[in-house]
Amino acid sequence: MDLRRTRQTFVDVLDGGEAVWDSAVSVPPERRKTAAEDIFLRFVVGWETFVSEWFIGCVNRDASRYRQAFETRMNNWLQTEVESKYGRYKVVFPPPTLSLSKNPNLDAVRDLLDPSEGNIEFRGLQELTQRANQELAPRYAARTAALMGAGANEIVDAALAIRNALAHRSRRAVREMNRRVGEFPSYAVLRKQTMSSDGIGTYLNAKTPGGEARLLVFRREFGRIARVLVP
Amino acid sequence: MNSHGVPTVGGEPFFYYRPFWNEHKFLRSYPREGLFDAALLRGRHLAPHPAGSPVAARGETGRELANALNESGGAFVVDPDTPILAAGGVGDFPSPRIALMPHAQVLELPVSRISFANPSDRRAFVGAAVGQQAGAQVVTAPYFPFERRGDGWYDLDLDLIADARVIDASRPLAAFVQASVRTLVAGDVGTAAPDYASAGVDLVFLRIAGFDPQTVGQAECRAYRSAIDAFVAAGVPAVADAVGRFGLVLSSAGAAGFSCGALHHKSVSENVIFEAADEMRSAPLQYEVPHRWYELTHTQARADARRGVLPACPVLGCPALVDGTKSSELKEHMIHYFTHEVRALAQAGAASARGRLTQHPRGANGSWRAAL
Repeated sequence: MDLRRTRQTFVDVLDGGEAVWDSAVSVPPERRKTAAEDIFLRFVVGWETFVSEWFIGCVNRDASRYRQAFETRMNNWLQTEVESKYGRYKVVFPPPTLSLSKNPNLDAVRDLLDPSEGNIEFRGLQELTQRANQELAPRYAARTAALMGAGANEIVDAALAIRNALAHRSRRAVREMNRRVGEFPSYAVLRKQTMSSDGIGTYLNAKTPGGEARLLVFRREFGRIARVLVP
Repeated sequence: MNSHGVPTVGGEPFFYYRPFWNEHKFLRSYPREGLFDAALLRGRHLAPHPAGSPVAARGETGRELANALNESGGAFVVDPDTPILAAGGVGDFPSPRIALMPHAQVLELPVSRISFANPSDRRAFVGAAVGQQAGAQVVTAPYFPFERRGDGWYDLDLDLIADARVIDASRPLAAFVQASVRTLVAGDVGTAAPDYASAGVDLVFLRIAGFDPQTVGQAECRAYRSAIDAFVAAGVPAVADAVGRFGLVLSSAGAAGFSCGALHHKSVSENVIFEAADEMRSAPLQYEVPHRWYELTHTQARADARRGVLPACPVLGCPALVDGTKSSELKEHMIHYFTHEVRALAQAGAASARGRLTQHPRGANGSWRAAL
């Protein structure tokens, strides 16, 4: 898989959203808030698609760590099962091996990672980082770790929480959104103590002291995250 | 001061003069002739002028302030001027020179912590900032405001300091510590001191955003003093940056000095973009009245001097009040007074400074006593 092309697809989503936002400059404020929410949803969906494809692409390019992780997991499972049922026989057997080349073809990787043909889902950057550490080659896992170290989890996790609040409007989703958006340790301009699901458009449309809409801060930071994952 | 001419804990404090961008003519002659410790130059004031601008058309390169100080033998320190790079993009900057600083061209603006996720990008940024500091007395690391000790920006600041140390180990290392009043009062500036000491910093400049000495309360003054004490205890000399004459008070209580400009840099704005716009102000310079903690218009000061009611400048022959003098003499006088008085008050100590604060005729600046 061409990771750069995957990144470019996501960047195209971000650029397209920004272009729509720019073209909505003269629409009435209420419609502009709606536009902000719609564009934001596109950004987050774009992110989820991108990060899923990125993960698959990383295994496609180097499956050695994935194979190792699978073999360890399978061996642990086998040992536990055998011990629980046949432990009294003192069975000895070689650890299982996964027949997977270092560069498996893309269909094989998709079948392994994504048998239901959906996206691989990550509830936050921390989860992506943990799974990358377990299953991706070190050079790819290091990129997610670098992002965690640079506070990118604040953007990703808040964006997912806002997306959930927009999509579900549930009290739980709004509470989680307010928790994320109220913290934002590295982004004072994105911090807001409380808002309802009806206030998200206003929040995204509001300008930072630098004069840009918060929506575009998310856009820029998503672009940066993509460039760290795919330099 | 140490062998590099940098203030030390317990040594003589410095007055750092923060010039405006066009004061190179003044700085080409004054440091050679008068009392002068060092200048503190903003990175943007060393950046090239935009192509096609009238100043560029006159042949000015942008390095005039540094060149003038090199010519007159005046020491200088460069403030890398980096907080604004995280606050806005090129279109938001009040001066096009900000985007022309070498380190402003390394990463997409405005920068965020993610901009520095790749260590090689971070080192390139620091390298460009240090590259702008040719001829400076110390090397200074880029910096960004933090809210709490140990937060992400704080850790990044320490990384930037470590990079600056590696890039230039030949000069003393100085760091700017920028935080809000809230962070100061919460004690997070003071608790940072051991980390800066461990990072090998030889000198810090404290910049407290939103700390306006003319309106500040006792709690904030007390917190500023505590922060200075913490750095002194950690063995790191701490200069109060952009505090105006309040710096005299802090220096009597252990600060390694203070800085301000003749008209600007008497406080640090919370909004770095607004602060830069504020620098466009061109109110007339005033006369710093020695020992009285206030300033007067030039006309009033001359009138008071003729009546014999104005304390004299500590430098004999100071020309500021002679008829026909201009703003440069007012600047000279301010530098005379602050450079002289910062030492006198440090020597006299905090108790003496507390007594001297009462000499303001209307008892203003009373909250400053909380720092003593």
